[in-house]
Amino acid sequence: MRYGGPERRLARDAALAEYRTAIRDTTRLNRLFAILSEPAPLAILVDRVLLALSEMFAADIVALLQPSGAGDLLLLGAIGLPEELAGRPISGLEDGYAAVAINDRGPVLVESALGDPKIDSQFAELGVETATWLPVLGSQEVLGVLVLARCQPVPFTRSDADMLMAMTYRIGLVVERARADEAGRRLDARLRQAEKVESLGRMAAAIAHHFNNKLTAVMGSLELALDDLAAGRDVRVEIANAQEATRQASTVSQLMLSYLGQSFQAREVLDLVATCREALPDVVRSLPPTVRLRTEFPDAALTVRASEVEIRQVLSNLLLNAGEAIDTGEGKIVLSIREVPASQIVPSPLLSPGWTPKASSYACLEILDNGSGMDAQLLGNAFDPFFTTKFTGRGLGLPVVLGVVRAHHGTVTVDSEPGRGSTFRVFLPLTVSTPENRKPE
Amino acid sequence: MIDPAPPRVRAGTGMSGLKDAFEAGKAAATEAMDPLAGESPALVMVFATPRYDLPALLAGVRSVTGTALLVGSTGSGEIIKGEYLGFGGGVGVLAMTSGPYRFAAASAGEISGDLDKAGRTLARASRAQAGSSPYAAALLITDSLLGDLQQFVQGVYRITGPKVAIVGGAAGDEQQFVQSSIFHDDAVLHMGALVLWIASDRPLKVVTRHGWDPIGAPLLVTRAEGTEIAELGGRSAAAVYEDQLGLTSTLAPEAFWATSILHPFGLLQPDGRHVIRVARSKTERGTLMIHGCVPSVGSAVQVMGGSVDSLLGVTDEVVDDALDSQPDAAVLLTFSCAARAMIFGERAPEEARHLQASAGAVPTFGFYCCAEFARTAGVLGTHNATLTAVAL
Repeated sequence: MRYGGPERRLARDAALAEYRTAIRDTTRLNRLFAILSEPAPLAILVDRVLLALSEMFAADIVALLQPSGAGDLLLLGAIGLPEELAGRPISGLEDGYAAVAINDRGPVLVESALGDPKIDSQFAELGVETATWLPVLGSQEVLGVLVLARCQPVPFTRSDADMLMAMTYRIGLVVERARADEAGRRLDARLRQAEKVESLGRMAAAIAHHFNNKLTAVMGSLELALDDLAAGRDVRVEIANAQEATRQASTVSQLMLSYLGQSFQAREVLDLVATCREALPDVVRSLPPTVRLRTEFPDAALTVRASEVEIRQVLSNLLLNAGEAIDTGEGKIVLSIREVPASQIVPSPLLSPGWTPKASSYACLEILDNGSGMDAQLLGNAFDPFFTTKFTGRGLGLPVVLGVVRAHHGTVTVDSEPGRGSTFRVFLPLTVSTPENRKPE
Repeated sequence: MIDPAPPRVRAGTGMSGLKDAFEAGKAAATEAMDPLAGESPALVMVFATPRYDLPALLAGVRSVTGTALLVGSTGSGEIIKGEYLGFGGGVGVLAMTSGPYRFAAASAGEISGDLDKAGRTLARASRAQAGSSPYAAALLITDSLLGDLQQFVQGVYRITGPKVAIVGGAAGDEQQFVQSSIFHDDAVLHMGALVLWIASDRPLKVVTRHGWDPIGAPLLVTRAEGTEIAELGGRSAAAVYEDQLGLTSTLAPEAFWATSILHPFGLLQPDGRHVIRVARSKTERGTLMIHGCVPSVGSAVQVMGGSVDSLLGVTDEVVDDALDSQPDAAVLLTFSCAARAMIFGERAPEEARHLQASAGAVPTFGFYCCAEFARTAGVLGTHNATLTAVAL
């Protein structure tokens, strides 16, 4: 068919209009999908979607509502609904258009909303003249209702509603996925909380048990001393026993404070390499004689701001722990110190959740053993106070390491496998040694 | 019982081109106060060239108007009752009594970061001072260098909702893009924003027109970052723009502005209208810098064209539409774009004359901005190369 003058113009105008519509619809969908594919929390995604819908459909009000379960609707987000109105409950679930959209699982178009009793009071107060309600469908249920409203007499078209239904389906999928993620996170958090409560309970019971033992010893010694005094006997042995039990209780208290990072030991700029070298002879004497210790220390100093007492304690606890892990006689421990850029540290979510480096470089104190190693469950408990697999020991060695390192703004990582030994790494922030920062804190 | 007539607003405008800032402010304010017939002003609005000693200018104005609320800014030309003050032209002052309105303003300087939050904060604060009312307008004056000004508008809109008219303009510095200033009482703010809340018993209507027509096919924004359109339809935005204009060779960056000011982008709206966006410059990477508010990825834009006559042709419609909604208006506030004045060239004074001729006895007052604010539908309320107005 060939067009003459006016026909040709009409055909061209129609084709151009169709092209514009196609571009408009494509851009609307593209924009929405671009927003929904961004990695952001649900509340932020919802806000961005509502802003985009307001702009794309020239809607003065856009609101996303969700059934509350109590017969009304909760506002998940809104644009154009002033704060004083957004705070009021929306009751459209009983006899409003939201209920119709939910029940019919399809869009509701209202061309003339003025004076319509089914329009919620918030929208009526704002002078809404035309609006559309759309169910937000999930895979199993209706998740909510999307409302777009205009305060001018420019009704939404069937084509707008079709486009919006396609959009709400996509929004529904994202909402559903976000809710599932949120539910998973809540479950994880509850699990972590339960584990923490269990761990705290175990710790409290252990502390109570430990101190009860010591107090019993003190009281027993003092009772004996009183009896001896009454009988005119020498009481020095009983008093010394009571003193020893008190000293032991005090040591545990000190270790608990170290675990909690509250030991208040003075810190100064020190060379980690030199400190470890000096401390090593005393520790080595406590290791089983069948264990060979090899050291790999750098020539240059690695300065950290730390408490020398606590660094010695960390070194001693880790070496003794490695020595005890070698229960088959012949064993090997490698102690090394080196500088590591912060970017190469992979913090343990178990030991240092949320830890981020504060310095650009760290000193890494690494202790590798070929002992019995640990499975995941054992590793999960190894740093809990009073948890020990050994017959002897208080179960405070590794917790104290963790507490001290945390208090020094560092982190601890462990690689371990049953039968293949363990590698403990302690990372402490490096500092630049200057005369000023050598002063104790 | 007959309701008493609402109190009438008395408004007066004044202007001065005196070189001494204090004396210029004093002279313009004295002229503006004259029609108030001895009544105290409830609002004083000041638009001025940035070349003045601005604290001295405001001191001069306030030596006449006293402690009445003062708002305003520097711009790129002023519109005062049919007169146009070009670059370095001087100062324009509007003084008005409250009549049926209540005015309150909130402002902040050195704003950085979250403009949406800044909009919410200032809108909330100004509304709280003005008190509740059935209707209102939020008149925004922002620094044009703040960034994406639509973020500020959307923040304000979150507080106002659709019943409150949003209007205003972005302060400028006669197209130097170095430092703009906003006035609030006797303070001169940089990198700032101000919300003037106008509480009203009747609806206040914002009117906007531009006079541009599409000359190209709709184009999809496929990449936009910060204040740049990077790609249109998957290609370099600058290359596509030049194709649309039918250019046989690429535009040199230094020659870009002279072309782009005559061919802005029109952001296609659902009803077929366009919201105008002007590309300020072209980068070596082939991206286009937009001043104020970049179309989002997924938006459709068209290259627009117009003439001095088509742009001037909208003034009558703007005035008629604004005054029809407010038959007993005392003043017509107008916010036109600095780009329009540049396009008008020697004919720039015609716009102010047209506006006043259409407005008749109602004085017109306003300035040439670096972005115009007018929310009429949806959340989008930032414009370029456009004329907006509200009658009070």
